[in-house]
Amino acid sequence: MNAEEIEILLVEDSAADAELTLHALRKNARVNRVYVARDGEEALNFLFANGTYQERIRQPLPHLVLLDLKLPKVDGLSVLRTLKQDRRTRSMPVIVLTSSTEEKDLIASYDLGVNSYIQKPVDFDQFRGTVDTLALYWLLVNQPPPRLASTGSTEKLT
Amino acid sequence: MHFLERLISPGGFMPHGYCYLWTPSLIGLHVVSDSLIALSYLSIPATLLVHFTRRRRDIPYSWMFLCFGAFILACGGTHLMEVWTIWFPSYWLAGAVKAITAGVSVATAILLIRVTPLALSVPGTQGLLDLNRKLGGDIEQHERAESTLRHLSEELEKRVAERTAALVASNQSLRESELRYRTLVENAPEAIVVLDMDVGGIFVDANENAERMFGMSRKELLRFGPADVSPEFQPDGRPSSQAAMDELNKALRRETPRFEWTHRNASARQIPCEISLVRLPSSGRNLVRGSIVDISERKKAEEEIRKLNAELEFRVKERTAQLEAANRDLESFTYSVSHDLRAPLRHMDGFSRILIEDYGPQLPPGAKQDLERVRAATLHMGRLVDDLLNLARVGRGSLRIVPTDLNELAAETILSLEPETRGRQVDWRVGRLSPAECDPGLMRQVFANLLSNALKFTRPREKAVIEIGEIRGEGERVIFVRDNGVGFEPKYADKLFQVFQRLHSAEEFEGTGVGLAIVSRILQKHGGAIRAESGPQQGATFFFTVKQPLPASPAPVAILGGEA
Repeated sequence: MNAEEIEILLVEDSAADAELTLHALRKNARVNRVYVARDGEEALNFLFANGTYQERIRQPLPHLVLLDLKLPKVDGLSVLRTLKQDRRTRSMPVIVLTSSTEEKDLIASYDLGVNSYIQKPVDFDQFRGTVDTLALYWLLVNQPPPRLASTGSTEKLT
Repeated sequence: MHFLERLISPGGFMPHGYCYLWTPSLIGLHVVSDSLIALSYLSIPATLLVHFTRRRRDIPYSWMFLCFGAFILACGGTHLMEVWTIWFPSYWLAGAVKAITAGVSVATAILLIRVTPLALSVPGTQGLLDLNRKLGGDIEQHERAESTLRHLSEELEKRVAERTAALVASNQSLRESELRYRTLVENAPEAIVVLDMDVGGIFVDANENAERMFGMSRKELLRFGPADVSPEFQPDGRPSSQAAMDELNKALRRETPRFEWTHRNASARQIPCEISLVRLPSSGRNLVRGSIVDISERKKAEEEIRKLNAELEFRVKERTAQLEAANRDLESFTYSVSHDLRAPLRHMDGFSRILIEDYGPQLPPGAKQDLERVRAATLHMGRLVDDLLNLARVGRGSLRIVPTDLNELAAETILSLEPETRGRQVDWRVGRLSPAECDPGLMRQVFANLLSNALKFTRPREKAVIEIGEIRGEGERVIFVRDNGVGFEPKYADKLFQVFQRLHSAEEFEGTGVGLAIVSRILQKHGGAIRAESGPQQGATFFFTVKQPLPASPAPVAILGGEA
């Protein structure tokens, strides 16, 4: 099971963005255990083992959440709020990875306790460099909190 | 008759002339003497009686004069008879006259005897003179007293006259004063009424304006009280009668209430008024004067102003709402641009890159170059989007104005441009800049854009000279950035600061045409301005102004100067 443990939950509605991010993660950082949630609701169900993710009970939480802000159903800031207000998910690192550097997004994200805020550069080389850096930092350099309870399978691994 | 005949008839006697033997001289002597005596005797009583006694009626015992008169007259009669008997021997008659004379004489003598003691008591001339003197003294005294009295009386009379005159005058002035006040009241521009609070506060006086205002005669008006010429309720909801009493009672307590009131005239028109009440000085009566000004016009004007204001406010609100909506639209537009416009660019660039990386060797030679063109265009588009968002942000955001050290900003900017100067010879000449009142973040962008522009357009020069300094004019400080770059044609100078306007081709000098627009916008927001001077190949100079801290507060200057 340990091998199938999800390292990163990528919350991203754009398939192309998800593809590029995964490409960047795999190519250099060699991060393969990434799960992609396509909207905020799915992300929350995944993390709290609700709805179609009930089987994830007792599965550990991912090491890192990469969160887009503009999402269908439940938007990124609402997801962030829920995660940072819940005792179970509060200590899990959440990084906003989005297109915008709108001031109000930045302020709201940090107010809600985001661990990092990163703008996706248009230049793919820069983007890849950024993703490499964050994966390296958060998954290897940073000392994560002790793993909290999380369950379920990782069947939708991509 | 017989007796008279005997009396007058001679009776056989001889005339008395015979005794004188008709001696003419003797007869003449007797006749003349007797006649003169008789005449005298006749004239004496006439004078005595008629003249004296009549004139001097005050003489006491005047009847004695009558007696004397009668006695003398009688004596005169006997002398006449003496003459008569010389020729006519009427001795009887003569005797009778003598007898009468005797009677009168005796009676007079008797009366004289009786009256003498009395007559003696009548004062003599000396006595009378004494008496007179005394009397004179008395009279003098009396006259003096009288004079004093008259004097006093005159005095009194004068004073009475004076007092009367004063009273008349005071009366007159009172009447005049009353008339004056009446005129004042009648011609006052306001309606004036007097209310008697002892009879329930009804009108006891009113001027013409009050008649006009209420549309009724004084006589009609004086039957009413204020509540009768007001609607049942005042605009604030108070019953008029109660409200009127409240205000009148205030006046009775010597307050001078002034308030707005709505009256109602005879034709039921409501009149907005301003009323001031004052208690009138009056002994024993509780009178209150009310002065009523019709403020219909003022109210109308106020209403008009309120309406205009409301309209204006409504329009301001409307406009604000429109602006807010426009702002919201713009915000959501920029938000969406910020989020959604960059994503496809990222995808284009990303997948082009992946294509080159993954399939590079299989691609024909031109294809790789084309893919690089796609990437270049994509990145340019990305910069455009970023610059546009920046410009929008400058327009939207509010300023955080603080005293700022521009030397520091310039130094920081030059440092940040270091990567762009690599392999180039750049001579930065920075003069001393005074502090400014500005938003440091935005001002940093001004410097960054201007200095990177200068770097960019001096690229063809072997040695770039970029000068930063300030010119002190009349109360205004102008900052300039001068380069020895390619410059531009002066006729396009005004195009420089417009969005997307470029004076050079992208092949020559890269750029989005937004940078100087951002600079201009930032300076405008600070109340400053920018202009540029140049000629082809002559370099360019940008002059801009930005507010300085007030000279009254030199503290920040000193501090910043110390820091710099």
